[in-house]
Amino acid sequence: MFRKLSPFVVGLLWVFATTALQVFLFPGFRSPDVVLIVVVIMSFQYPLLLGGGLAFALGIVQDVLSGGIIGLNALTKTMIFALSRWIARRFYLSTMLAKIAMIAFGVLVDLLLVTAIMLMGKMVHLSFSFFVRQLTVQILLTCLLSPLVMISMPKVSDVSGSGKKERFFNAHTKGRVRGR
Amino acid sequence: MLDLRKHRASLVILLLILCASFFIYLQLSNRPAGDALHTAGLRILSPFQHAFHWGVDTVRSVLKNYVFLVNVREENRQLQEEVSRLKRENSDLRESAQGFERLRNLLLFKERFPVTMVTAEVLAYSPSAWLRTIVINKGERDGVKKDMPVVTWEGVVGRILRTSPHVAVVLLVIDRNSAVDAVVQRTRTQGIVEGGGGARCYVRYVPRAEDVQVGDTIITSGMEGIFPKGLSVGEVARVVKKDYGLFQEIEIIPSAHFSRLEEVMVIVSPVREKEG
Repeated sequence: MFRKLSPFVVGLLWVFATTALQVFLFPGFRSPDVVLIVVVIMSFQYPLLLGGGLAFALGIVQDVLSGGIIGLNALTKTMIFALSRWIARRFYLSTMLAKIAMIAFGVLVDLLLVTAIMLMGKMVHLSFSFFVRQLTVQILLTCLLSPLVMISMPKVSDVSGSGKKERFFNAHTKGRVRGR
Repeated sequence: MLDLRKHRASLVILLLILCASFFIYLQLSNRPAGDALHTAGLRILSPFQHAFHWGVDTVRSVLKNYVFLVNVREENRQLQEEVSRLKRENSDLRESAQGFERLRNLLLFKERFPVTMVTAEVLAYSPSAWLRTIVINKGERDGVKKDMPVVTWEGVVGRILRTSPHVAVVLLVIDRNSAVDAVVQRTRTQGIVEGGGGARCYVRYVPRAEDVQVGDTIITSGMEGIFPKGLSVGEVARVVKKDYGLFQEIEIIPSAHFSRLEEVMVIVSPVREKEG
């Protein structure tokens, strides 16, 4: 159980680390979205149910610690987890570069969702140029930090469902052999 | 018919998304349950944040004092010990001097603004990319309430956004959701200081005809009743007057140094003007 939850625990530690070390990581800049990196990494390793729940929990933690709207990050991170997992299962994204590209895509989706919700709630007024600038800076910062977070995250590949697939494949092959 | 067991995971995800949407709805519609959610969340997470802050501080002090003195040559041991002792003493003295300077500035500030203040330590910075907030180690038990102004001796820091018994979240003046009523000190021209999301702020709604120059100091007007009058907000860094539009664009550098905030003061008494 602990092994299964270890990426979540490491992710949580990263969130606390950014709250304490932000100034040292990127002084004078916006903070990179560590939760998003962790959620995308989890989407490569966790099954939908467990990973979705943990992405939701990390989003809530981020919402509480930032003092923003509770549920905003929980909503976006759960959706990004589901989307990223859906894409990861359809395309072979094994290299670090592919994963970083997935994280950049996640930042784009996150910003679009957050902006849409904030505009719906009439909480912010945005110009297109501001939006593009924020997006560029955010993608750069988040992608820059992502290799470090990826290296620190434990591998839990057997919970992704590939193990199940393998078992099914073996049973199926055995059956055919027996049938002969 | 739809097999619910087969789609259990997808249904749970959908449920979580609905749950998050419901939380958002609660807060956007300004229901008290929204604030209760925050208070409960902060109550749960603040001990971890305190612990993490303590851990970081300990590691930082260990690194500062000992790690750089490891691998000393044996023949220079005595000399190195002497150097390390002097370094430690020097570092302690410098730290004391800086602490004394900070406290002196705080006292001077308190003299200038006769309001009741609570001094708080910055525990953490916002982990969210879209909000510029900090968490401080004072909460409801210390008299801190929502919307109270937060300042340093340098100037305006922000206002209290959320509270819990032991900690509070401060919305920084550089956040895009922040707005402070202010005036240009030299000309008394009024405007609204809004955050830019980055390291700068902007003074909005200043008519084009008004005289504002680079280097002018922007201070609080005290009009909105949150900040005391005369607190420094920032210094004008850029003024743009376009050929069209009613207002000019004024960019300011905030007075408070947000990248090295250590202690802040929360003004807990209602704002009143200094007599005389």
